[in-house]
Amino acid sequence: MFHLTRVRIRNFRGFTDEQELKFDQPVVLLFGGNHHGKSSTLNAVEWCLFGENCVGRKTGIRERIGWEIPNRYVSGGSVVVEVEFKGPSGNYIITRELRGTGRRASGNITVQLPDGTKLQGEDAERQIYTLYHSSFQDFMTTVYQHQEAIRATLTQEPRDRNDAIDRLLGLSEYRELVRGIIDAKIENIYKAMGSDFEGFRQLAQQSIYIYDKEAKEKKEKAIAEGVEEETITEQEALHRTKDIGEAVISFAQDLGVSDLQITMPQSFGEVAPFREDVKSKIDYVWLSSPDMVKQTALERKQRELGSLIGEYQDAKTAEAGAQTGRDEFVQLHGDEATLVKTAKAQQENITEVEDQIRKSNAKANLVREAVQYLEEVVSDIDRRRCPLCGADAPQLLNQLKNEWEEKIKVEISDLELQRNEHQTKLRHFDTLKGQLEDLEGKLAKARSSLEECIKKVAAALQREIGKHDDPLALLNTQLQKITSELESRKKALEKKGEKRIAIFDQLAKLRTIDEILSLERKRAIVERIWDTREFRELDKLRDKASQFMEDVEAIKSSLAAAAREEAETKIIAAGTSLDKYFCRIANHPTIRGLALEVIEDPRTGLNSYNIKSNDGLDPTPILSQGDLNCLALSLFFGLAEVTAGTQPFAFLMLDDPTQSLWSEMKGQLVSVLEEITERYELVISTPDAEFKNLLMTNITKNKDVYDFLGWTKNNGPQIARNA
Amino acid sequence: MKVDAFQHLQQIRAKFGPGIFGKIAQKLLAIALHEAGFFDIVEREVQGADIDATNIMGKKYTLEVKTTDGESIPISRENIEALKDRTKDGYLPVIAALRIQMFEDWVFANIPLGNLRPGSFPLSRLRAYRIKDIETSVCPAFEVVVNQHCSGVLAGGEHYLSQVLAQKRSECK
Repeated sequence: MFHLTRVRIRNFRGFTDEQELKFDQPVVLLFGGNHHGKSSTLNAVEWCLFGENCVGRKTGIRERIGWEIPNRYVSGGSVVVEVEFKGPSGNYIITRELRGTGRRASGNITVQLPDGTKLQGEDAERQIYTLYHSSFQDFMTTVYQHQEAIRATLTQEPRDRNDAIDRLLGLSEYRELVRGIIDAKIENIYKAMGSDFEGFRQLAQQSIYIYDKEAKEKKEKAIAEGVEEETITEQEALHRTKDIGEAVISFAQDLGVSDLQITMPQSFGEVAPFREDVKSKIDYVWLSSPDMVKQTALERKQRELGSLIGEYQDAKTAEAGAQTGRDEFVQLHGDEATLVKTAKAQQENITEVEDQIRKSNAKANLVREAVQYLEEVVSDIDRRRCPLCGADAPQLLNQLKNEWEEKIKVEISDLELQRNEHQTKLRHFDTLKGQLEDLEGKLAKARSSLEECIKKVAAALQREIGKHDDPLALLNTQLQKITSELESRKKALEKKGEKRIAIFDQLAKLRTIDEILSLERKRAIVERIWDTREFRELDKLRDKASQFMEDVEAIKSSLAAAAREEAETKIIAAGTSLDKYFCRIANHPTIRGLALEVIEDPRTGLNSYNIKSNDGLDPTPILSQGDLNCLALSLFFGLAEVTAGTQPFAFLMLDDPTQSLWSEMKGQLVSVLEEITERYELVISTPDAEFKNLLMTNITKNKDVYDFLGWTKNNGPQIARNA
Repeated sequence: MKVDAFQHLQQIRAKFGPGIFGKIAQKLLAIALHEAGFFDIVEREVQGADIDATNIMGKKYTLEVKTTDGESIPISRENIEALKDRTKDGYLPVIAALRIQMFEDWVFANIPLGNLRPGSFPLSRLRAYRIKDIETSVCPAFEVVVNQHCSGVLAGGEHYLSQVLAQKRSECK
């Protein structure tokens, strides 16, 4: 067996400068407050032995996820932990180093054998395993009782407690693997694949339903229209095309077209183009036949004459209206000559009046100037004489003024009034003349339009139209003739047209049959997907995926079964030890015959643990945290006891084992430890002074105490040996 | 399964309901096994595995027949026991499951009985244990049988198929 004798630590987690602790007594106590480096000291031993294996999620210890090895407050220095073991052949020194951090970190391990040989790297790792035959899980289960393991056991959550007990039993790797498989959720990917396939299947199914429905409806319609159900086949459709082709040629001959060529379909795929071809050929034959050409010409003539009748009637009406308008005007206002004559008379009147005005104006000027002269220029004496003849005329000025006011002014005013009246009349006649000219223009235009129309009628009727001919009557007579001819021709064509309609009817039926068969073909194409090579390959892939799922499930079940088997083996091995230690440490008044039972969690397949007492009941609901801690310690001691014979290590490490224990339990624990010291050396870390005192007092083996007095960022733990 | 056979099965189910339909499907499958060259066919209406059949190479199969609309089939403890029971006589236990959907076929799965648990069992899991040889011969035969006997079943129900089966058995003798 291997005894732990010494550990040297530098830059590991909370440690800075190199420190060395010797374990040369059967019981070594690491005592001090929390965060003073006690647990790191124990962790350092573990890390030195197992390196990366004791770091990360795989350990099953939550605190180890993202666990930092180098002291984050020390820059540059490498981490070194050296542990010395005393074995049967001498001392073994294991030194593990780590340089750098993160991805650039590089490590080295050296094992110095008792003969001084030094092994490094993989050789050193192999040597460690050869020496101890111990995995990290074994070490954690039976050598190093982790603080975290106890904490997790104390939880009331079944899942967390199952995790913790798995960890106590060293089964975390199984659990992690099974959980990894569960978390991969492969079945979801498989389900998604199945769901995609199902979507595709449903789409195809839907398409078939739609094709079937449409085909059924069309078939019912076709049968209602006289198509026999048994003729709705490709073969019958081809026969039908032959009949239609012959009917079209016969129809063309009836209409006088003898050189019509029709390409007959050779396969069902050519039926649709055949239908289109025949349809356009029937139209061509129908429209280009002499009867039809003549009929078309007559119809065109009929439309032309009809249009001319309307046009002529409009022109005639317009001409009559213009004539009436002009005549009524002349009747009212006279013709152009009358208007000119009247205007001329008015002009003469104006000239005459203007002449009178001019004469009156001359007299008026004379009187006005005389008045002005008499009033402004001459003296009062001269004013009584005539300025021209010098004769006495005492009332001259007054006479002249009276003349001006009473005669001349009135006379001129009357004359100007007369002139204005004549001028107004003259302007009125000018306006009437203009209106007459407009009416004359309109009449001329209407007459011209009528003449043009008559020319058109003449051209349409292909004859001259004299003054005595009535174009409208001529047009109507001709139109009647054409209408009558058209009617007799239409009757003649109707018989030929019946053949055409019959062919179209056949074509419509052929089209319906073609559509039904096309739908059935499409349906068949969808159905054939399931016979394709691609589909068969897909089917094989689905089988393989299913096999993969089953394999994964089998692996998962095997792992879970192995974990369960191993758990059962260990629990059976721990057997009565569990109850023995629990009864001693917890000293519970009612719980006896405590046993652990493992079953499969039906949901996850993982281990699920039941704790039962001898009454067959689960005691956990009445267990205190202290009791649960006792249970965890009991399990650890039980497993350690079981493996005592095969255990390579001669020591146990206990990290803060008295969590939640009350005084009596601590005393009982010390008594158990006293017993254990017969088989193992103990390294115990505790912040519990009561527990320390109990240990110091009641453990009969030699003891050594390291006091962890404090911790600083720059110097790490302050440790004092206090033997 | 092609559309025609599927539609025929739908007609049968619509007429007789899901309970009787399951029995009819079992009988149709038994006839299909005859058509596919299997012999010594025993079709049970009550206790035990649903069908026993032996192929041309002399290999003996015992079938638990299941039809479903969904994506899983119900497996009972009796089903598992019935299959287990027949294995004592050298029969290979097989779950024959048909999802009644267009383009779905019978799946014949030789799933280890240890993997079967009473309850709902996903059809997708059966795929891993398919016996392709049986499927290749029986599935097309089943379609033919369904198309051939659909009108007979619709008219005479289960009784009609019992007569057909009896006739097949006498032909074999």
